[in-house]
Amino acid sequence: MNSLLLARWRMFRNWARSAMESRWEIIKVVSVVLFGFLLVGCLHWWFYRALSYISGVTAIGNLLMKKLFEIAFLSSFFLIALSAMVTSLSTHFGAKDLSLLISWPIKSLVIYLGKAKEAALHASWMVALVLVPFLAVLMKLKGQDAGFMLAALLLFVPFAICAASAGIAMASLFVSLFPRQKLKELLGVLGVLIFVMLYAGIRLTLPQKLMRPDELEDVLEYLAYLESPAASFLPSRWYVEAMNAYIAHDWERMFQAMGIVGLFAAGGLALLIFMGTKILTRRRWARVLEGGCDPGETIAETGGEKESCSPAPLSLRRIFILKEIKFFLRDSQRFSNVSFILAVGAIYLVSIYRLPMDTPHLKNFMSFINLALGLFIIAALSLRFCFPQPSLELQYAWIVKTSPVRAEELLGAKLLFSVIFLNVIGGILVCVSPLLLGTDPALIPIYLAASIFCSSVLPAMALGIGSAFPKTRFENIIQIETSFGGFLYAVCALIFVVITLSVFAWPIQYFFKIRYFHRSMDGADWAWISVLGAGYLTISLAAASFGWWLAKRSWKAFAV
Amino acid sequence: MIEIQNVFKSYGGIQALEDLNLHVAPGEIFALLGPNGAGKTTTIKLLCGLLFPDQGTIRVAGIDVLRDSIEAKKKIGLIPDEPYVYPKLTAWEFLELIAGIYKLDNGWAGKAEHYLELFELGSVVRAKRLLESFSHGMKQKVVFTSVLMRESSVWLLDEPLVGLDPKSIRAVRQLIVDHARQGGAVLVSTHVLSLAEEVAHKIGIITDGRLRFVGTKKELGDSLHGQNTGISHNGDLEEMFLKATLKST
Repeated sequence: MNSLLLARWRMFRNWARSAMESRWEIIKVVSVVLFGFLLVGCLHWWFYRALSYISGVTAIGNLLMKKLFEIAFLSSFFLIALSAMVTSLSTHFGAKDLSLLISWPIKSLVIYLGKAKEAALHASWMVALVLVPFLAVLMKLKGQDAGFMLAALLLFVPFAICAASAGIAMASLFVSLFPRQKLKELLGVLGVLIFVMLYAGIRLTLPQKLMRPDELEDVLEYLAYLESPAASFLPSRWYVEAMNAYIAHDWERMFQAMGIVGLFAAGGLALLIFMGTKILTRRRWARVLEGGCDPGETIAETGGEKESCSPAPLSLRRIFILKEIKFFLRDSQRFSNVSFILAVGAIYLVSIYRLPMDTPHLKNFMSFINLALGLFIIAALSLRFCFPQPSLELQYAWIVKTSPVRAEELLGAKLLFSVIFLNVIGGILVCVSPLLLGTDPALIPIYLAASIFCSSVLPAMALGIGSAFPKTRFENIIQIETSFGGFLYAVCALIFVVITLSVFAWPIQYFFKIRYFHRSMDGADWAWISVLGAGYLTISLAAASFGWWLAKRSWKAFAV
Repeated sequence: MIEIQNVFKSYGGIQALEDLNLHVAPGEIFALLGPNGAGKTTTIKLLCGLLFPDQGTIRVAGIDVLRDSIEAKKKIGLIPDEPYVYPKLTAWEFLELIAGIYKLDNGWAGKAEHYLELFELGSVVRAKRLLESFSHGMKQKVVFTSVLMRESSVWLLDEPLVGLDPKSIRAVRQLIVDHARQGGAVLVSTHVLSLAEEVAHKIGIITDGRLRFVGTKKELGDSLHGQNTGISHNGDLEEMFLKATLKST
C-alpha cells in the first residue's frame, strides 16, 4: 500500500515537473488556476447577494438561511454520491492499470479501497470548490472567525467520505449483479436510479414550500417547516447542525454533531470494506473485468462457412454516421454521462410542473428561466458528448488517416450526429417546459429558435476546440472534459449561451409589452431587433465556421 | 511447477478453454502455440490470477492459484503482451514500486542496474525520462527488468519478443534458457516459431480452446508424418504448425 501511495505521489510530482518545463503547459495551468479563482470569485459574489437578501427577510431571515444551508448540503451529498457512482464505473472497472494491479501480490481489498479513494477525490473536489465561497459568505454574514471555515472544511472530509462511499458501494453492487457486457444495456436502469435519487434528494427538501407559505395552514406550520431539519437520517443534517452550533458557540452540541458525521464516515468506510470483501469479491471482480474479453465467434463455432454477401456500398458520410451511432450506443462511459445529464433535465421538468405558478407574468418569467437552464443543459451535453470526440477518435486516427478519406468527411459525420442529437434534446427541453408551465404558446418558437442556434453552433465549437486541444492519454472521458481544452470550451460555450440569452431576451420582452401592456412596436424597435438578429447571426456563423475550420486544420495536423 | 488440470473457461456462452490439461516441470521451457483467439492469452491470464476458471485447478510452484493467489503471484513473473506501465513514472521509480510491492531486499537495485545495462537502457534511465516517452520495446524491456530483478521461479511470457531489437531478442532468448537451467519454469506464448524451435523443451498447440498436441518438435513431426501429411520427421516447425492447426479445425 505504501509503495502504491509513494508511486501516486511521484506520478503527480513528475507531472508537475514536466508541466513546468514547457511554457505552453505553464500557460495552461495558470489559465486553469485563474479561471478557478474567477469562478470562485463569481460564486462568492452571487452567494453574497443572494444570502444577504435572504438573511435580511424580516423575522424569518435566519430560519430561511438555515434551511438554505441544509438544502445546499443535502444537494451536495447527493451530487457527490452520484458523481462517485459514475466515476467508480471508470476507476474500478475501466482503469488501464487494473490488470497490472491484480497481477501483483496485493489484496483485492487494498486495490478496491485505493480505487475508491480516487473516485471519492474526483467526485468531491468540484463540489468543494463551489461550497467554499458559500461557506465564506456564511462566515461573513454570521460574523464568524477563520475557525468557522477551518471547522467547515475539516468536517467536509468525513461528509464527502460518507457520500462518496454510498455512491461507490451502489456502483459496486450494481455491477456485481449485472455482467459487465450487459452493463451498457442496463444503463437505462442506472439512469432511472439516478433519476429517482436526484428527484428524492430535491423533493426531500420540499423547496416549493419555501415559495408558497400560504399553502400551509398557518404561519406556525410554516415556521415549523423552516425549523425542522431536512432528511435527519443523512449526514448533511448533522453537518449543518455542527456548523450552526459553532455559530452559536454551543461547543458540546457541535462536537456531538461532528461525532455523528464522523460515525457516518466510519459507516461509509465499513460499507466499502463490506463491498470489497463480501460483494465484489476477487472472483466476482475478475468476472466483471473479463466482460470486455469476449473472444467472439469463429467461423468454426458458427458451424460452417459464412455466406458471402455483398451489401450495397454506402456513402462515406453514411458509413461514418453509422459508426458514430454505434460508438455512442456501445460506449458505456459516454452513455452514463449523457444519461446523468438527461436525468437531471427530466427531474427538473417534473419539478417545475409542480411549482405553484398563478399569474401569467410569473409563468412567462419562469419559462424564460427555463430557456436559460435548457440552454445550459445543452452546453453541458455538448461538453460531455461533443467535446471529447476528437480525443477519442485520435486513438483510431491511423485507420482514417491512412485511408483515402478527407478530414471533412469524418468530421462532417461527427458534426451532423452531434447537431441532430443536441437539437432533439434541446427541442424537447425548451418546448416541454413552457407547456408544463402553461405559458403562452406564442413564445415557444422563440425558445425553439434559441435552442436550434445553440444546438447547431456549440457542436461546431466543441469539435474545433476539442481538435485543437486533444487529450491523447486518458483513462476515462471525464479526464478529457476536465482538461485545459475542456475548460476553454466550457468558457466559450458559456459565453455563447449568455449572448444567446441576452439577444433572445429582447423579442421576449417585446412580446410581453405587446401582450400584457398593449404596446405596439415602432420602427426603432424593429430596427433594433433587426440589428440584434443580424449581429447574432453573424456571431453564430463566425463561431460555427471558426470551429469547423479549427477542427479541419487540427485534424490534418495530427501526427499519428 | 505449472499445473493446469481439467480447466474449463467460457465467456458468455463461448467456450474459450475446454478441458485444458497442461504441466510444466521445473527447468522446462514450454512454448504454447496457436492461431489468434485460440486461448493462449486466456491460459496465461488464468495462471496469474487475472481470470477465474469455470472448473478445474491451477497450481503454480505447488500453490493453488485460486485459493492462495497472493502467495502464488509472488512466484510468478509475468510479461504481458501489452506492457502497461504508469506513464508518469520514470523507469527507476517503476522498478522501485515493484520492489516495494514484492518486498524485495536491498539487492534488487544492483540486479536492476545490471539488466537495464544489458538491455541498453542505462542511459535512458539515468536521464530520468518518464515512461510515457518510451517506445513499446523500451517498456517491454523495463517490464522484463522488473521480472528479472525479483527472481520469480515461474515465468509467464505472452509474446515477449514483440517490439524488441535483434540484440535484445538474443538477450531474452539467453535469459529464458538460463532461467530454465537454474530450475525455473517458463511458459511462453508466441507466434515467433523460431523462438519455440530454438529454446522450448516442449511445444503445445492449442486451437479453439483445446490443447491438440503436447510434446517435442520431433514428436510433433512423427505424429504428423504418421498421418500422411507430407511432413518429414525433422521438418520445419512452421510447416508442422500449419498442418497441425489445419487438421484440428
